[in-house]
Amino acid sequence: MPIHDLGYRPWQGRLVPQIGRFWVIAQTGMRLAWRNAWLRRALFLSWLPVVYIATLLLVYEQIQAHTSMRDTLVPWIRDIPITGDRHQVWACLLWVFFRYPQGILMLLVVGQVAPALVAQDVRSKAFLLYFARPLGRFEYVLGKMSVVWAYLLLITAAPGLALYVLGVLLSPDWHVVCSTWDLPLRILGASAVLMVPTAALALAISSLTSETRYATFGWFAIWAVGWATYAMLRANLPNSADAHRWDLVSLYHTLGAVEYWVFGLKYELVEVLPLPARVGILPSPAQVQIWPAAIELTAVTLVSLAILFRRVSSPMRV
Amino acid sequence: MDALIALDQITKDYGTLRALDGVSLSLAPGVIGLLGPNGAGKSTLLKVLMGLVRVTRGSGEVLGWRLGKDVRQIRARVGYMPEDDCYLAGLAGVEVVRFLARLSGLPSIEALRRAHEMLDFCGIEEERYRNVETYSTGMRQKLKFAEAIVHDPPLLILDEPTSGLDPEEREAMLGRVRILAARMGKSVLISTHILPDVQAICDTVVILAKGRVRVVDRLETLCRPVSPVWHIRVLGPAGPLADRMRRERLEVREESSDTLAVSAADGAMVQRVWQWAREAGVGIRALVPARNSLEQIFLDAVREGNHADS
Repeated sequence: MPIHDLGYRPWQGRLVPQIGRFWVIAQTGMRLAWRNAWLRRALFLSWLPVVYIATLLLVYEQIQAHTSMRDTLVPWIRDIPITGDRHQVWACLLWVFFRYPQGILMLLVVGQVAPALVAQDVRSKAFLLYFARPLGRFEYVLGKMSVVWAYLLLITAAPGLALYVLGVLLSPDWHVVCSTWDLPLRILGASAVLMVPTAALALAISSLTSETRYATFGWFAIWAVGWATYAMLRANLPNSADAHRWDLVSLYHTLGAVEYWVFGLKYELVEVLPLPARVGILPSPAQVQIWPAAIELTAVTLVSLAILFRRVSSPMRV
Repeated sequence: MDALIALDQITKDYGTLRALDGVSLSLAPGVIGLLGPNGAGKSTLLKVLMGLVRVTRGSGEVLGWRLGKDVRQIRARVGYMPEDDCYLAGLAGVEVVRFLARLSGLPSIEALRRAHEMLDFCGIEEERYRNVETYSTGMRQKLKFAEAIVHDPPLLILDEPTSGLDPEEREAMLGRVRILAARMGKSVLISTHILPDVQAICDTVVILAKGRVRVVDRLETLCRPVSPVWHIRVLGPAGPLADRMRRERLEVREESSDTLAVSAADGAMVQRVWQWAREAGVGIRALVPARNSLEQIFLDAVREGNHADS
């Protein structure tokens, strides 16, 4: 028996407000996920592209300020942005940052965090413990969602905003802020586009099984199948003007299309920014199907949430 | 005194299966045993009380809060220990109890202090720092009990609290329930199959069969026979004493070679038994009022329910 055993004592303290209960779930989920060494590595890795993109911003701004540097630098750095509107160049580099390194890392991070979040509760019948407390299904889902969002913020909005600040600090002229003031908002918008549908989808997949490994497989399979299908369909239309119409079969490309719209990119940029255009990744505005893509992401989010809420309720029905 | 639990015509259907069929109850505070065979609707009734399932028809109140409408208030004031083997994966015992205390609204530090205190009360010692997935069945039962009481609720709903416990732990668990009920004034609703547990701690018994309430009464009243019966245990064969009493026109049943059951409304009979025993040449070892066994009451209630349905 413990030497300080006091037996049962009544408790008459003050309860914390109901509104913060979801945060208890979120905190615990984040702490459990943090134990995963691969997740910590992925988070570290997610900050490395900031250095590369910041270097490109630095070079671009130096060229704008000192045209003599242009001839010196261009032969050495292939991906250098040469000319063009500052806002467009910055937006494009940020889009590239979100689209490629962070897009791929998003897959890895969510694949590490989300599959266990609901699947483990299904397996251990933990719903009975959660919902025997003054807690609603909405708070439960919000708490779980917050875990995924928190880690996604660390690889999207946080490095994106850090990149913007770094770009401003490395620019020779502080007036760069006047022409790029809206980019932090666009960064937050692009982060939301990455976070909301992906977290909902990942948790819906997690709720469909009691085995974390099946949920992990399902998560990666959805992206891989979409990507492979897109690649095969695209291969049949190599130079067609409407090659990007197949974006909708791949969730990854659909996300990219909506982010393209969020950053307000223009067609002319293809001419001035060799980096993405050269590898054929930058779609033109005519090709980007923003509304179908936005509708698809909204539908994915709503269907995922419907599945999630239904699955969270179902163990209580019997 | 206000009713602890008041239910009016609660009906719950799962598709075509009627799990609860017009359950009406009014239970006063105390320790209440909920009995019933498998599939009687006990767990469904407990889930209805916790707001975990919606009722098809009917209404009710728990601690004065309306079922279905004041779910959060009910859950904040009720400690529920489910029968299922449920746990929060990846956390140590003390972390789980603290987590659930925080979900009930306790501040973070206070939740940790209270979690340790409840684990001490439930006899979980160093194991509290181990991952709950490594716990034995008995440990999990104790942990679930600690989880149910961590927020100091006035009403406890315990679903099979002693299942999976060894005799010593079972007795300790019943002791904890007794302490909470007798010293802390908690009301307890226990669903169990173990009738001696009910006899040991409950004031009131509810017997449920096929979704209907068959019996609701105080245990003391239930166990009292309709007509007074006395059990007489004798030294040697009981036959001569039985014959002697039959001559006095008493209804005597020989329950074993040395035990008799005598129906007698007349209290004076007790005085004369000693004389009849001397005349019959037998010694009396025990003379006690007989009680109905809870097991018999349970079986009768279930059988009556089956007959009524057929």
